[in-house]
Amino acid sequence: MHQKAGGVKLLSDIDKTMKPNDLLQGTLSLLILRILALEPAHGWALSQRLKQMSKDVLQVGPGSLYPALHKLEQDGWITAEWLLSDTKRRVKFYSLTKAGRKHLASQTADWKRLSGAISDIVLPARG
Amino acid sequence: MRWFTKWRLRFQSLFDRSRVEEDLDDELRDYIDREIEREIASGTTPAEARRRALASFSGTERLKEECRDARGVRWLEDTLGDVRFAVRTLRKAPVFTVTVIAALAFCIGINTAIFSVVDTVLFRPLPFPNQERLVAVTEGVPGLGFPILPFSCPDYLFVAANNQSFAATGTYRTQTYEISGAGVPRRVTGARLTASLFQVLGVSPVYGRVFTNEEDAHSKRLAVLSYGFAKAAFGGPEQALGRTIRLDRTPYAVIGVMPPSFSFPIGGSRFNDHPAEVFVPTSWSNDDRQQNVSGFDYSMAARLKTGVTIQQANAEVHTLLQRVVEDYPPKMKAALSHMPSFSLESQTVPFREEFTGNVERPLLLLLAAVGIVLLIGCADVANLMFSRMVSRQREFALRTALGAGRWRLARQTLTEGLVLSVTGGVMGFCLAYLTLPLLVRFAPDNLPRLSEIGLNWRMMAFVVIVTLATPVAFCLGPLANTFRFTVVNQLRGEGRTTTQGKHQRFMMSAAVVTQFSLAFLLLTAAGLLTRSLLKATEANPGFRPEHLISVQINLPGAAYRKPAEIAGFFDRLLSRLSFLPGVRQTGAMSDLPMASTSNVLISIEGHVGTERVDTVFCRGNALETLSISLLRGRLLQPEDQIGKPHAVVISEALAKRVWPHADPIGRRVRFGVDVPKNDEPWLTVVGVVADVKARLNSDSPRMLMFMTWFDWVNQMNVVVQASGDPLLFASAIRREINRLDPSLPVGRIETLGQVLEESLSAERFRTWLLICFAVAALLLAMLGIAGLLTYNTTQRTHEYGVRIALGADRRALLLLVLAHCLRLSGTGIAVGLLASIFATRALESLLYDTTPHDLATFIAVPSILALVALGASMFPAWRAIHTDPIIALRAE
Repeated sequence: MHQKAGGVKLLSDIDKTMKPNDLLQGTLSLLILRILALEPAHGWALSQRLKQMSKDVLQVGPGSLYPALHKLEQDGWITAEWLLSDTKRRVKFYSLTKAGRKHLASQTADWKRLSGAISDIVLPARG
Repeated sequence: MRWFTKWRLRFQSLFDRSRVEEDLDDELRDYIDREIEREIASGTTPAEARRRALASFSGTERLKEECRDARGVRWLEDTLGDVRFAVRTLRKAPVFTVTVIAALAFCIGINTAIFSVVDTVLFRPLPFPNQERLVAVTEGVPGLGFPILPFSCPDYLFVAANNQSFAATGTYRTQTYEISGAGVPRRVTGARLTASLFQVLGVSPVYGRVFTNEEDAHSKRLAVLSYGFAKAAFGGPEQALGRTIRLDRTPYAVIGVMPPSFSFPIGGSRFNDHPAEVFVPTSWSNDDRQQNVSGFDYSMAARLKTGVTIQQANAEVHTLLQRVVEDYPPKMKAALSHMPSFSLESQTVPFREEFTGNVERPLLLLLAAVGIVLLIGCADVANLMFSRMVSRQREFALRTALGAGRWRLARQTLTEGLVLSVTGGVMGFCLAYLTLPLLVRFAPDNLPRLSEIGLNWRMMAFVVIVTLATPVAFCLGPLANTFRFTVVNQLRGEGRTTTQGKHQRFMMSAAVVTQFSLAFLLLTAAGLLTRSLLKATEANPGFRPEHLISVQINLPGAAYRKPAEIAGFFDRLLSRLSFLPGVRQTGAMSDLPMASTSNVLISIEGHVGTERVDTVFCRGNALETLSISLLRGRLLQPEDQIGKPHAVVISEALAKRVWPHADPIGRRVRFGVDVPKNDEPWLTVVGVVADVKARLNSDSPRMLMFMTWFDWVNQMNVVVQASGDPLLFASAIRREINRLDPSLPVGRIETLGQVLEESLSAERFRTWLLICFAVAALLLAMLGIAGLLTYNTTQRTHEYGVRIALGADRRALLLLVLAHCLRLSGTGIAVGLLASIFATRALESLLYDTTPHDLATFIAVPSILALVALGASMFPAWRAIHTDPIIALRAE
């Protein structure tokens, strides 16, 4: 009863009514998967990469990042590994699983459709 | 693999919580450290860097909580919390907990055990591939009084060759063989079967092979053994292959061994009792194939083609049976032309019904009985839960006031119920597992497939369903209550003893009334079956079983070829036995009164039509030995044994049926139907004896014809009447038989008293079980009413205290409790009586000489229940009148 609706899933089915929160959550998951597809990373590095790659537009704090990461791990899209850093600290590295890679592909396709559709409506005059 | 990862993580979060929490801390600390490093690197002071890093967390604890939620185990954690809480609260009420768990364990245990038996016998698929397409086919001549018969060889062959409905057909019959060449000579059950039967059943041997149709057609002496027999006789299935066994002193080569699971014919079959140990070809002679149209010996099994229904198949068999008559030998055809009532019918049923027909009703009755016991138990638990709820009402009210949702409280109650029922369920399952071997040991022979009984997923599923369903049953009432009470009233009631609400009082009383009426039902059923069993035990079997001992002897045809040899053996044995000191009478008869019967048709001189009789062939002083009383004429005499026998003695029932108004002595009968070509010799009735029963619990008159004749009977029961304990003669009988034929195996020597006992074993089994269940129901109902009254007294301690303080007569208090008890039990008894009057009709077919409305039972049952209710009210009544007013008033 306390389980939250899986935000990640909803993008694949845009006919369903979406709560804005779900949309955002789904988007964040997509971003995380995308970055992890490049190389495994720990949480902090992820947030830095996100900031960098979005040219400081997207700043995701730990408050959203970690729950999203744990949800993705629970869903089996990503997997975590504890490694020792140079400074002998235990660091949790996340990487994409095989299922996660497939999931990313389908999510990306959905995103393209969705963002295209939104663009068509929001920016009609262009082109 | 995703689901695996998911559950691994979930389990980790649940059961390795400290590590998961530690990991979460480490992970977040790592983030903060890096954030601080970054801030410092960009020139912030360490203190400020630390502040900023921590500020980026909007509440670490909330974040952690969100991470935990993301792992999706919240609901599980909550449930585990509930369970822990339930266990803690239950521990604080040990008497309640132990009582409830014991009651549940007992009820679930017996339900599981009985379900397991019923499931094995009635519901579980037969151990054959695609068993739903297997059917048993019978023929019958209803016009002559034989509605269901196995097939005759020519009829079977015709149906097998010409049908379109069956993918395969096979036939089998069991017979006992003397076996030698495999350990000590003994008698085994063997089955003669067509090679095609293995295909019909879809079974193949584990070692070696089975015989082929050609080998069967050429009457090859080949044998396939059951696994158990191969192991017992040769030490193992491999060792058995290639060995030679001698069946009735004819050698057979062992060519195969069946798998251990193969038990056939399944026990309790209509025409074949015991599973066979040896399987041999039918080896029909040409005479069998064409002439023997009146030997109905072969049970037919067939596999339906896909898409063919049982009805279609049966219709086709019926049509074929009308045509087969045209192929009959001319003599038979001529005979049939004089018999207008002769017409072959067929019946096709699912193969399972071949052996469940007789046991279905008693088994379902037992299942219903344990179901009722479970219901009574649930009512007990419900009431106990109820009374607990009342004492916890203030706790619940307080929790509600502090913000606990009602659903949350309901969930708590349900969890408590589940903890109780799961504990009870586990214990019940163990109980069932332990009692099953006992049940199997005492089960009568006619319960088929009991060897297959044991732990299986169906039994597990049953326990799980019952375990999960019972708390719903016994929590419903208490739950409804949770949603009813009003917080304000409860809290305001603080400091005063709360009395139960009207609604609740009604629910609890209703539970007790239901218990009593259900217990009434069970007791009545048990009472009726007991009466019936007692009547059957006391019934006069028509002979005197005291001092009688018998042994069955089968003379192998290979060694005893001529009738004179057979007669000679028995005459010598009987005369030797009669010289033993202490032996009063000796005789031999082809069938003991309780044994299976040989139905034959006879025609009566001067009468039209035929009679169906059981013939018993006698030697020596058989009738005198059994003390069957002579009513008219004379018994069989030694002279009747010499030369052609012409004398018969008939039973009174037969005499009354054929010659109701005339003296039967001197009348003549003969075997076969009354046609001009019948060349059987005439037999003269010389005496009439009293009726002998086939079964103790059956009153249907038995048409018996006793005669001396040895043409085809090589199986006889030697009966000895001793002056003292007949069992003392067992070894002497064995010795005498060994002297006459050392290689002849001697079967079980048993007294006729034992045989009579055994003939009622099925009745005894179900009656005892039902009595046990009824007693259990009675005890549970007693617990129920005692619990309610005690609870009631406790609730009213204050009131009683005040009454006594004001000078109330203690006797009045006693009457108050007793009146309450009688009101409850009386209502229950009345409802039970009404229900029983209708329900006991279902038992009618199981009763012997007892009506379903047997007066004695219907008087005894309410009396017992009323007494039990009064007994149960003793303790609460005692407490009520011994209420100490000072303590009662101080208790406030």
